[in-house]
Formats: sequence, C-alpha cells, structure tokens
Amino acid sequence: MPFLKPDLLAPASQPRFRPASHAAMPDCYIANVRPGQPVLVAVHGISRNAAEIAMRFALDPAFAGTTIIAPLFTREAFGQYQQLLARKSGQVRADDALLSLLDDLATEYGIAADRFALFGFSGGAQMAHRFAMFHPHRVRRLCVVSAGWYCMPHTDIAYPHGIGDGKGGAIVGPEFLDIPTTVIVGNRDTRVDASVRQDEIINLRQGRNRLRRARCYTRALRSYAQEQGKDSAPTLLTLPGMSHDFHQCVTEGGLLRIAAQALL
Amino acid sequence: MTIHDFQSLDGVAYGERLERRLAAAKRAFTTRNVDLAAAARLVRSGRRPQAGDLILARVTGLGQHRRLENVHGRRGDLYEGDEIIIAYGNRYAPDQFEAYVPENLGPCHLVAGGGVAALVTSRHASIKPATRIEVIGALVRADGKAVNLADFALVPTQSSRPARVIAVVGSSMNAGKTTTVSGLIHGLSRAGFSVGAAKLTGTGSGGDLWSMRDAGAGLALDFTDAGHASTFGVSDEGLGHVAQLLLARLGAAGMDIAVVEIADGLLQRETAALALTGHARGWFDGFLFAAADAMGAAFGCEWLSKRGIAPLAISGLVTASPLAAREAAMATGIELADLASLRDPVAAARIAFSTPGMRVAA
Repeated sequence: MPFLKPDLLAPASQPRFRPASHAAMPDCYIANVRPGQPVLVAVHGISRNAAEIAMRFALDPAFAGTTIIAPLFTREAFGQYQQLLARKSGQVRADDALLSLLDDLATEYGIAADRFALFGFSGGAQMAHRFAMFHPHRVRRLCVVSAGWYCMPHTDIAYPHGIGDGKGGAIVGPEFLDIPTTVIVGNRDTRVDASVRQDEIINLRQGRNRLRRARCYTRALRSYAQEQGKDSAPTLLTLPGMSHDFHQCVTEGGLLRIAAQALL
Repeated sequence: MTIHDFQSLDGVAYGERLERRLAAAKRAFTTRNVDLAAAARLVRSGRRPQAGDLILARVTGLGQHRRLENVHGRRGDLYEGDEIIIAYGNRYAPDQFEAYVPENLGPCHLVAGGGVAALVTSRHASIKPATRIEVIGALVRADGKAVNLADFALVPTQSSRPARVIAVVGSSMNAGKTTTVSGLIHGLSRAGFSVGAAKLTGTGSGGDLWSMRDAGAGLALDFTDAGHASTFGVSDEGLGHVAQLLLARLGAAGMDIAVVEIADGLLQRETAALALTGHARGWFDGFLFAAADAMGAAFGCEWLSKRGIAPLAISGLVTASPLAAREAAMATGIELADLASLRDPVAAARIAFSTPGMRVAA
C-alpha cells in the first residue's frame, strides 16, 4: 500500500500488562525490559493508575534506557499497601510482594533489580518512602510525589505514623537517610478533601495538607540525618500551579523531566 | 423554504436562490463537513452518481426512516415533501437494508438515518420498506464536478498514531460493539488516559460518535471524516487510507490510546479486510471481539485464531447472560469482559495492555 507510514506503527516502548506468577506478588505493567540497564519501579496512588504511570514513563525519552516496572497493588490482596500493612488473613505486605515480583522479573528477564530507582505518586509515594526505610539497600534513588502523609523520622511515634517501635527505639535503621531522596509536591496541592487523612497525630506533626506535610517531612528528615551524624539532605521541589493530579503534573508541570533528574 | 417560495424569487440571482434553498433544506449528518458554498448549481440528469456525491432530494413517501439526523446530531422528524441534503452511499446492514448507489439520478431511497441515498435491493423481513426520495438535483461545482464528501475529508497528517490502539470487531451488527467501545473508552479515560475513538467502517450516523464522546473520548472521528458516506464497497486500499488517516489524526490530537470500531461482523468483506490488514500492518495492538451469543463468540474467535489473531477479551451481548458467557469461556478459553469490567479503570487498563495469547480452544 503506497500510503503506509512507518510512523503509524506502535512505539516499541509501550508498556504491557504482566499478570502475577503467584498470589504473593502483584500484577504489574512493564516496559523497556532489557537486561543490564537501570530499573525504575513506579508506584501508583489509590486510583491504581499503574498503567498510566507505566505509559508516561515508558514513552518519555529520558527513560528510554530504563526498565519500567509499575506494580498494581489491589486492596484485596495487599491491604493498606501505602503503609506496608496487611490487614487481613491471606493478605501480603506490599514490600514483600514487590520484592517477590522483582525476583520473579529478574529470573524471567535477567533484569538487574537488586538495586533500583523508586518513584511513587500520592499513595504510591507513601508506599515508596516506607519501602525505602525498610529496604534501603535495594533503593538506589528515591522520588516521592504528593504523598498524603508521611512516616515521620521520629522514634517517639509508632509506625506507620513514625519510625518508633513503641519502646522508644526505631523500627528501622538510619540507612535510608543515605538514599538520594527528592520530595515533590504541587504548590496548589493544598485542598483538604476526603482523601487527605486528618488524624490528629498527622495534623499535629505534619500539618493539614500535602504541601505543608511535604515541607514538614523534609525538614524532619534533615534534622534526623543531623542527629544520626549524616550529611545527607532530601531535596524538596514544588511544582508551580500544580494540584493533586498526576496527569496534570506530567503534562503541565514537567514532572517526568524533574523525576528524570532525581532518579537517573 | 418550499419549492413554491423558491420559484417565487424572481429577480434573485440563481446562485443566491440555490444558497437559500440549500439553507432551508434539512441537511443530514453525513454532509456535516461539507461547505455548501461549493455548490454552484443543481444537475437533474445525465450523470452517473458516485458514492459520496451530495444531492438535494425530496421525500416522496415515508418508510423505515421517518427521521433524519442533522449536522448537530438531532434526529428530526421527516415529512413528505421535505427537501433534504444527503449523500449517495452503499448500505450493508443485515438487520435493515442492502442497497447500492444507483446508476442515475432517478428516484431511490433514504437507506440510513444519517443521510445516505441508495437503491434498496433487499431488506430484513421485519423492516418496513425504505423511505422513498426523488432527486431534485446533484450538487455541482462551477466547473461541473460533483460536490463530494471526499473533497471535504480531513487532510492526512504525518503524526504517529496513539501509542496503543485497540480494535473492536464483532460477530454481527448489534452484537454490542459500540457498547464495548464506549465502555472501554470510559474505563480507560477514568484510568488517566486521553482516549481517542474512531469508527473505521459502517454507514454514516452520528449515534456511535456521540456515544464515544459521551463515554469520555477526547476526540471521536469516523469514516465520514475521511470522505465516505459508508464504507460498503470501498476498496481495501481505501479502507487502509481511512484507518491511517483517522489514527494519525487521533495521534496528532495527543490521544494516548485509540479505541476503534470496525462495523458489522467478521464475515462482512470490508470488516474482514480491514481487521486483517490492520493486524498485518501493525496498526492495531489488540482486538476485542463482541459477540451476540456463545456460538458467535466461538466461531469468531476461531476465525480470528486461524488468521493469527487472539482477542484480548470477548465482550458484547454474550456477556449479559452468565450461562452464555460460561459457554463462550469454555469454548474459547478467552477472558470475557462485561460492561462493568470495561468501565472499570483498573480492569479496562489491564485488558487494553494485555498481551494476546493464542488461547483459543480447538
């Protein structure tokens, strides 16, 4: 056919759905799967837009040389995945499930998933920064965007609101402070709706909205790093004019360009 | 304006009288992209119509189609004596008419509510005879060339197509293809994607486009935007042009995903040709198969399988019946996607990004 245009063919980097091999791991969307190149794990929020997140990263030229993995955490199988809490019998902690998935993908595709960049948006940002606390040796760089609230680096508050073990100690070691961390939030992400938890313990330590909470968290991280004798410091970036909307942050706020600088 | 009014415009230039007459006529959906200012005169005889040619016609007897969809999508009542602007086109509709563009400008039929003129050669037993029309004249340019829909088609663009294109095919007319398309558009839109939609084959009518837009499509196009009143009888190359033109347009508009509908059933010539060409050329990333019943699902999936296509899922009317759905699942081994699944953002994304597997039972 003379009118056939090569550019009408599908982009090679589009993601595809990969069903879980067993119940203890999540389904996921994967793209650019090639052995030996860096791996990015991108975690969705409670809208569970894993497919969209995978596609946005996969089609962005900056991530063309990165294997993209976007797990899909269902409430039924993984409970409160944001807080790494399995609430019911039969549910699996999201961090354990993610590690199982990465092992499975490493076996199947030969990807180097022992250390990876970790990105999360909203509920996914909650999951991501908690995952980094529990598994710091696995996370090469961390980028958390628009988390609803944070696990504060305070040992006097019990997990998941803080890192306290309930006995005055810490439930995690300080190694997570060594991970290059970028916290991003829209400067219009100040609306307090039903999706923004308003527990007293959160409001007291972190403020009422996501913008305020991101500032409190990064400040607390810096203080905790100083206490631990570390010179690491998280970067806080605000996206001008952006609210709590992944699509808007990507298309209007340049989120992926910033994420590329933070993660690659 | 009636013919009487038209004739009473003594002293008014012919061009102005024609303009007023066309403005007063009921103009059909299929002609919505046409600039009627291109029409310089009406030709009443001595010309063989071509598909896509515009005519001014008069309703002489109401039949199956008692309403005409206008350029805005409203289906307005028709009355005998109404003057209408429609386009010639063939019709292939097992539930309604088989009809062809006539060989002359003699009386013929309104064979689709979107505004298609043709001569009926067969009709479904439950369908009334077609609404009869007489041709007042074919719209002709100053140079004598017919005013044709193709002259007002979208201009091809060099844009890439959307990153993901899902084609919906079916076992027959009214198998649930449009419902499938709308459901998937809605689900994918809720999943965060900009979703474009296109109806690649069929007979010109706005209904499917409106339902695509209502479901959340950022842009919805059909073959009338590519210059065809219908696609029955269009060559394989012409069908390929329609598909590529519309996909490139959806890509140019920034759509992430396209959901496209190919009308009628797989046994229809143009449907089969476009499905297979699109698959072979890599225009479509996956297929959904909408079936009216379990037997149709089994046959359709086997038909596709023999041609190297494994549907991502089976949808359509068959999914409304748990028993029929069970039969279809057992016969094909392919997942069934009911309307609730298609509309669910997580399930819709999973379906759309699945890798088709050759799972069709022997």
